[in-house]
Amino acid sequence: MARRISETAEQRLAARAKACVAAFGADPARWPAEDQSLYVRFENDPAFAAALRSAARLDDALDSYAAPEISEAAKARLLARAPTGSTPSLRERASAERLIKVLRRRLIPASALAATCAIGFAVGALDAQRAGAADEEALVYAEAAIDAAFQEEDALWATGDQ
Amino acid sequence: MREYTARPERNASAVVSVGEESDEELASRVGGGDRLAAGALVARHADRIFATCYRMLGERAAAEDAAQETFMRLWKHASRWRPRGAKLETWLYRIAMNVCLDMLRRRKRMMSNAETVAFERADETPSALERIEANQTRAAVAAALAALPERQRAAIVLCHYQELSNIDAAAALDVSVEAVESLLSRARRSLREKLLSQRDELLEGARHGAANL
Repeated sequence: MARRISETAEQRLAARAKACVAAFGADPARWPAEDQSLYVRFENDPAFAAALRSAARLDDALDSYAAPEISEAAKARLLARAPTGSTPSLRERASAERLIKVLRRRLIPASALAATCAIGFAVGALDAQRAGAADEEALVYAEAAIDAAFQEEDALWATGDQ
Repeated sequence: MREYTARPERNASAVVSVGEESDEELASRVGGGDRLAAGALVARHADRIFATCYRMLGERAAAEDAAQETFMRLWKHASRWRPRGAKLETWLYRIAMNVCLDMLRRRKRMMSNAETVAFERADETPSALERIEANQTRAAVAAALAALPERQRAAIVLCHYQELSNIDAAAALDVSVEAVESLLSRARRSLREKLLSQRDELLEGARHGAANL
């Protein structure tokens, strides 16, 4: 009975080693860390060795497909859109979020809030506020609109934080 | 009236340490408008993000657009970055993948079903016989990659080419670790079948060609 259990465990390990080759290829450095010891354990097994050889051929073929480097001009374009010192700070954004919560609870139904999502309007209103030409209400709507426009990315961000 | 003031730039001593700071610290500085920190993030990640996008989309211009969009989203969110366990790099891959998948879907909608996604590399070698030659293997690989379902291709790009762990790839693709392994296994099986059958076809063609000489 003990031998049968042991054989079953060995078969399970062999199956896992085979699954690693199928998913990650012949190089054990690409395997999950907890599975890498299986490589040494089975490398002399003929069936496993054959699977390794086949996977190694595919690895070599994949490695032949090199991507070009990004151009310096493209890198410069990435950097050109980076925020400057006038980006609203974390404190300012937190303040806007508090205002948005108030709006959602008391003033604006969700559908109306979504309708304010036009970035042009938002940026225009915020700029006007900064120039001192608009009142507090304009600022509230501008911040709410910006927040609504960023909601999709916010969701991703929140998930990434987990 | 509320005042909006620019966050002051970091002083020179802080700038010196840009190269040693973690991605998360740099992202925080980018949020404050520190363009040197932004430059450091571009220097660290632009090549890998671009390569990822290139292998997903198959052409330079589209890959540059996708990389641009990925970094735009980073810039937008930099001031709110809170690294609770997630690495910035993983998040960047996740954004890049989403951007690429969106672009592929848009591209698919514009193309008829009969058409396949044309990869630059594949187009460079129209002759099947050429592909069998040693330095042309990559064209066949590019075509085989392009023919994979998008998420299988994404798994191969992240795990094989970008060498992400299965855990990080799962985070980037927003699927379980088991799902990543399944995507990889299916992708590799398809690639092997395509590449091997192609090689056999080409060898067969070459034999016929030689016999007719």
